[in-house]
Amino acid sequence: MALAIAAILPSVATTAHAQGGSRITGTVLGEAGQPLAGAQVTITNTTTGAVTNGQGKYTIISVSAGTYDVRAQRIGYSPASQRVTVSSGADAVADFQLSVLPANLTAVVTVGYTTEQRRDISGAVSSVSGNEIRDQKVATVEEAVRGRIPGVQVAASGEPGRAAQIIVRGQNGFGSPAPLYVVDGMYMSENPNLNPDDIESIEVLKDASAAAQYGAQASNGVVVIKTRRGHAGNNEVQLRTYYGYQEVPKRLNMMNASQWQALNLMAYQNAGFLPQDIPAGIKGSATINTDWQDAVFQKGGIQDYNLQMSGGSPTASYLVSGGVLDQNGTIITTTFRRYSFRVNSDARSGRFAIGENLALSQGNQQGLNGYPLIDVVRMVPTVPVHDPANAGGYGYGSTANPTYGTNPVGELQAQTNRYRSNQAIGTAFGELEIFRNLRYRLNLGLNYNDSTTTNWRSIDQLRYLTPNPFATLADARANGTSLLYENLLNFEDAYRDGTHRVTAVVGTTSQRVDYNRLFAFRQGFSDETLRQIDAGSTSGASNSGYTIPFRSNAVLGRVNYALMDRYLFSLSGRRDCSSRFSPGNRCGSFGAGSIGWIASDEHFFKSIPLVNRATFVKLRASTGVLGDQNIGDFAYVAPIGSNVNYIFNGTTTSGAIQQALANPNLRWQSNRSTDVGMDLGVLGSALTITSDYYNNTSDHLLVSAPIPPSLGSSSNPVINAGKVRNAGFELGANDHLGLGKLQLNTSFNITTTRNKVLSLGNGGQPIFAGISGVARSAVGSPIGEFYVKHVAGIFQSAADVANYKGPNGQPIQPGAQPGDIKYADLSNDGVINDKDRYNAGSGLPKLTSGLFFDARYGAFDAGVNFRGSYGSKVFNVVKWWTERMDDLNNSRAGLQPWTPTNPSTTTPRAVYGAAGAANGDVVSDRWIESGNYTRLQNLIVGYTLPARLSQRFYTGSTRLYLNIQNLYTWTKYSNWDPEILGFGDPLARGIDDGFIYPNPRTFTVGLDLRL
Amino acid sequence: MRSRALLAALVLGAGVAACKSDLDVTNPNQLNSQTFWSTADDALQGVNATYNGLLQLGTFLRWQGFTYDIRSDIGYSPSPWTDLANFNKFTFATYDFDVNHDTWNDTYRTIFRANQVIANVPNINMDPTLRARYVGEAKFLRGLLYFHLITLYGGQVPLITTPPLPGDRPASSDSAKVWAQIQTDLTDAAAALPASYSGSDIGRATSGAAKGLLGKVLLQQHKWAEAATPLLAVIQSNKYGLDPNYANNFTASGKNNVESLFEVQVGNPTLAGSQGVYGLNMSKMIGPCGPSFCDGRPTPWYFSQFFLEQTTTGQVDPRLDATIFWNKPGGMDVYAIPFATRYASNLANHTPDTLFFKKYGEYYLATPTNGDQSWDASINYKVLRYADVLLMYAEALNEQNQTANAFQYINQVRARVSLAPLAGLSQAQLRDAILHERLLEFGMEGQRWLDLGRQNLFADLPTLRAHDPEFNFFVANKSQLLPIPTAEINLNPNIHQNPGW
Repeated sequence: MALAIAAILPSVATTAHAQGGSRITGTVLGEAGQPLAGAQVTITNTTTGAVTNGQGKYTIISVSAGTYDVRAQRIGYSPASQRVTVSSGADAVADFQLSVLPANLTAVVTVGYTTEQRRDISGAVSSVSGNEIRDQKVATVEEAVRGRIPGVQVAASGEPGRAAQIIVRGQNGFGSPAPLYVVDGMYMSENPNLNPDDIESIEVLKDASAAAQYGAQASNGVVVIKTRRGHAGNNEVQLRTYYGYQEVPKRLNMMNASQWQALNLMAYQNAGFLPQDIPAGIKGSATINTDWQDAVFQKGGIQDYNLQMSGGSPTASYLVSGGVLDQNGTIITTTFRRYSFRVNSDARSGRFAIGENLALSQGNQQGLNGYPLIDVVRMVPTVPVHDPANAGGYGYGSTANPTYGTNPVGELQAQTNRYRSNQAIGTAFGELEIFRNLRYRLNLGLNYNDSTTTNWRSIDQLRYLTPNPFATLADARANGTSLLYENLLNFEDAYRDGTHRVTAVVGTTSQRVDYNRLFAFRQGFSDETLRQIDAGSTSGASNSGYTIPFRSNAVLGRVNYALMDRYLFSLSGRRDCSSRFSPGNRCGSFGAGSIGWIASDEHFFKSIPLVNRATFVKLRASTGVLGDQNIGDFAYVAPIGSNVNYIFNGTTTSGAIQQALANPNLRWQSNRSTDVGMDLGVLGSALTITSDYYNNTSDHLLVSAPIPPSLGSSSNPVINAGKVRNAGFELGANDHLGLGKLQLNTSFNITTTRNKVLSLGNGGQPIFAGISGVARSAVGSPIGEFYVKHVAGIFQSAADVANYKGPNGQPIQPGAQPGDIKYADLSNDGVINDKDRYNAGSGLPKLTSGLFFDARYGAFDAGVNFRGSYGSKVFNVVKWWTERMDDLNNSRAGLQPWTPTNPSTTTPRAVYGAAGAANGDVVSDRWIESGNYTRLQNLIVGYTLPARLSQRFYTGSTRLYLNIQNLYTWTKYSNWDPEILGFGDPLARGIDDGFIYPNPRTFTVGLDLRL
Repeated sequence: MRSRALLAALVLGAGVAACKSDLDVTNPNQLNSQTFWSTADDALQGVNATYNGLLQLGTFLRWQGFTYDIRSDIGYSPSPWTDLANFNKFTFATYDFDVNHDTWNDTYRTIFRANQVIANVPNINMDPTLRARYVGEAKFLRGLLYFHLITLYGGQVPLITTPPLPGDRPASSDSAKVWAQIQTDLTDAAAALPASYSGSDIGRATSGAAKGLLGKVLLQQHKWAEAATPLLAVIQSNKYGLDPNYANNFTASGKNNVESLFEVQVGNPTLAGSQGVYGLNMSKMIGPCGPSFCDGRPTPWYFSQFFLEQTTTGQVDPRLDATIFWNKPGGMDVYAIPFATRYASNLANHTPDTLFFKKYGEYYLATPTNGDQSWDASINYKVLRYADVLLMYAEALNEQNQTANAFQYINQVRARVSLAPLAGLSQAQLRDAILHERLLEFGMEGQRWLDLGRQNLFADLPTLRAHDPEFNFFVANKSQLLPIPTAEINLNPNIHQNPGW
């Protein structure tokens, strides 16, 4: 940006007419009346002008008599104009007072390969600054984004080290919604494992105009992350550390042993069991009363240390940082530890500049095993956690307590799910200033990730009648190398006193990605302390390995043009070629355009009543097409199946042949994205509002399309046929209030999302996903909407059953007993079957919002952050276990099944076994709950020590703070955590399947020390 | 300035030139359709994989026992799997029922393989003799599979002879075209294939197999004179004979015996699919209750036919004991347990039809798996054997009014099982005698449905209903063909459903 100023100023200074005439003079002042140096004052529609001096004064010489519009502008301030009449031989005076543009309008934003002032952007880009991230004390990048940016959802959980999934503007297709991450210019398809303390800024490119520079990889949005760099000035050392603990914020109130016995005794009796056939554990007096939540949940410690040193001169700068994060989860055995180290530096000499970013990190994660969040409620209280009578020592079901629940403590302790990765992300650049307005830049990037995943299972038995025949070990080693090579030409100039400003970039980018994986499995370990592949038996061993190469090349360009600082245009294009496609379909073109209009800079604007109260008004619109090449590797060619053998004369003879048809015409999935938005600054731009409406239609989505069996294909080829629309409204507002010592920043955002499948291209057959196929993607509905039967009530009597008749006059549920669930015959055909399912809402929220208060009063600072999510549904598998009453599971305290004396209208009777399962287990809306919640996400109070205190020891500053995350949640959801967006299958969101780790409540105290 | 600009241009130009990643990336983990079909070994592997297509439930591992045998009057299905029982009553809840769906899909999947060989192997630079042989083998297999399709689904089946594209929607063909294609394939195969193989090639299609099958295909169309030519060629080749022990044909020891023109070479319980090869699966489905699932059983009428004529020594036709488990006076073991012991309660309840199919079972093993029949019986399935050639030739002669000349061929088959030679029958009498001989000779060998069709026995429904009450559900001009599966009808606008369905 400094270059841009340099480019503009000389042109202004040298174009003043050196001839006789009158002068226009004046002073340009800031809001507080301070003189503004370096402001440009020009006569509109001419090249005549001047620049203010240190006293804010300017003089335009050689002006002929006449009436002129004079305009004053300076970076960071709203331009102002006024009309001046110059008489021959007399000086005219025009003084200006410019108002400050809000910080987020002057901020420089990285829009892909160009940087622009926020004021000049006509696309949809949202940012989070490093300070905002550091203030939140989060362990991952995505958590920093959570709730801050309109249009961005974060699917996160409390599992230590688990990378969250960022979803930009909804689920665009049937595959992964992961955006492209660009870290210091390096392309990454997965969440980078970055230390949040190292981050300078995160920009989310949401619309086509902003993201088009990333062409074929941008259809799910782009997250551009820049890491911190040193600045000219004194060397600075910062130590940041926090220490605290995490806990599961809520416990489910489960039945104790005697309550559980009473319920299950009733269930057995209702199922017609004779007293002698009822398991002993249900009848006797219970001596064991296990609280499984106590056994599985824990307070987990968290500590983080980060040391950073940075500094620089006008020609060179550096930053070195190192950090350790150590976290124990809120579920036993789960841990995460991250070591990170970074060196960023750059140097400049004359026309040359070079720089690099290098980040090394190691992550060690011990994740969840099994389904402890199901088993923690399923396991019955009369089974002990540990039972020395059992081999392995874990308690589980027996003839007295014939539950098939798995001991959740054993699940976590007798198994490991360890993931260790070593990652190096490095980028280097060299820059040459060819002309003052033209720079050449070479970017090189490397992302190397080497990971080891080990899954161990000891021989210990964890479940009734399910002995584990041998210990098993699966060991997977993978490494991925991604290389980036880019050549860019950047152009930046202004003409006619800045009436025309142009920034442009053209360049090439290419990527080479190679991924290798080796996998080994052994079963049978004579000594279980030797948990290595070589220690396992070779009987039943298996090994596998593969490598996947990927190559891509692209040519890209972007032009931004600002006319008179108020008519903004940008045009982006990119042509991508990718090895994922057949030669004829290898390349695709993507592009977008946007326009913006800063209406508040128009002369007439001040004369529009009411509207002229706004100090800044920008209207913008963009449209374009982005691509998605995530179609799988080698998908366009049919594989030759091997091991398709035959026996000739008793000898197995090898055979190989193509068994499935492939679609050689596979091409990019594309996303046509249209955005209209408005940016407003009012109250002297203390309050800024940004709003957007977007409409994205993803087309050519990959779907597996059935073909006639006579073609002889063993599987259905994937074709580009699906179409999905996402539309929504986003609003972000930011207010700054300064009252003496009190500084208060308030920001608020709200997002609405509407998702609809327009076409499936497979003969219209819906796609079912999730547990029991509960999530259906059908034309006309959102992706993965829950599709279930409807509970119409509980049969209260035999007459009730008999009177529930279909159109044929026959009872619809003839076998039902009083107390059973009455299912609605939605198809009105007299029977309850799959045709009676209906759309019962989806796991995708309709509206999300965030509210932030950041205050500072003298030495004290405080922050409060609320987040909300509304309109989503959750399919509650945990509840399915706690309320099914047919399986000896535990239930919630206070659950009162229907009995003749308790005519419940919501909870059916308890029946053990098949009869209960047939009526009660049905995939119905009984298991669907509202996923609405409002959460007090973050609360932080800080105090900066008085300088006189700290500066006795050092020259910097010291801040102490207390931080509480996830302090309270307002929700009706009955489980631990309503924030269930889910991982894994993007077609089945919102299923609380027992594998979603509740978001923890975290208490930390921290120290920020600046030396 | 100029030199700097030049330098910049050079740097940039070099960069652009160097950055071009090679986009021609092939899958290094797996062969693919672009790189395959380039070597002689590829050709061989492709042919072998085409044979592998025979090892599917819908081709020769399981369901042919139902479509051709149990569905006919020799068998019936008391299966608790209602859809399967209904299938043998010519009744469907859905046309996508497994038997129908597997038969259609598996047959076409194998045709797809054969089509790949036929399309690609001629372009491979390799030994021309071998190349011609591989194509001949694939054509033989394709002819065999289309013969299955036309005899089960009629002439409306799509005739696909080249590897299709995903967008293809092949139209219904007509009988003349399908028959002509089968004859062409088999004629080509007969010319390209050797008369015999040695070593680890034994089991591949031979010219004899192609000629024998061609005869069968022509015979099925009543092209008696044309059929006689290739059948006589097989006989005159002197390469084939009858195994002295009839039952030997249907056990592991009869693999590739002198009587075999073509048989499906199956796997065994040890392999159990692990190398892509499976054993004969039908045995477990249609074998005796207990060791097997007895989902298909002999009709009492079929059983009774074995008693119409005694051997020259006054014994029951030995083919009975090779075909059916029955409460034989003097005893008969069913998987090492005497029939009378194993089925004591059935017999006590005077269930007269306590009869089970025995052919293709591994009852003879000393210790069958857990006393049960394995899903992977290690018995090759005989697609065409010399006894069939002899009987077909006799039929071809008889239908050409060469009745007197025909006796010698049927009598060879009868002599093996000690039946007295036939002589002096009229043409009509010999026609019946041949049908009767085939009935006893080929139980559970996929022949009866063809016989019913060829000699138009479907026209006499009262007789069939007397043989097998399942024919009470047979609807003339409909049930003779299977319905084309729903998936095909739904996804292929160019295909017509068979009449009546």
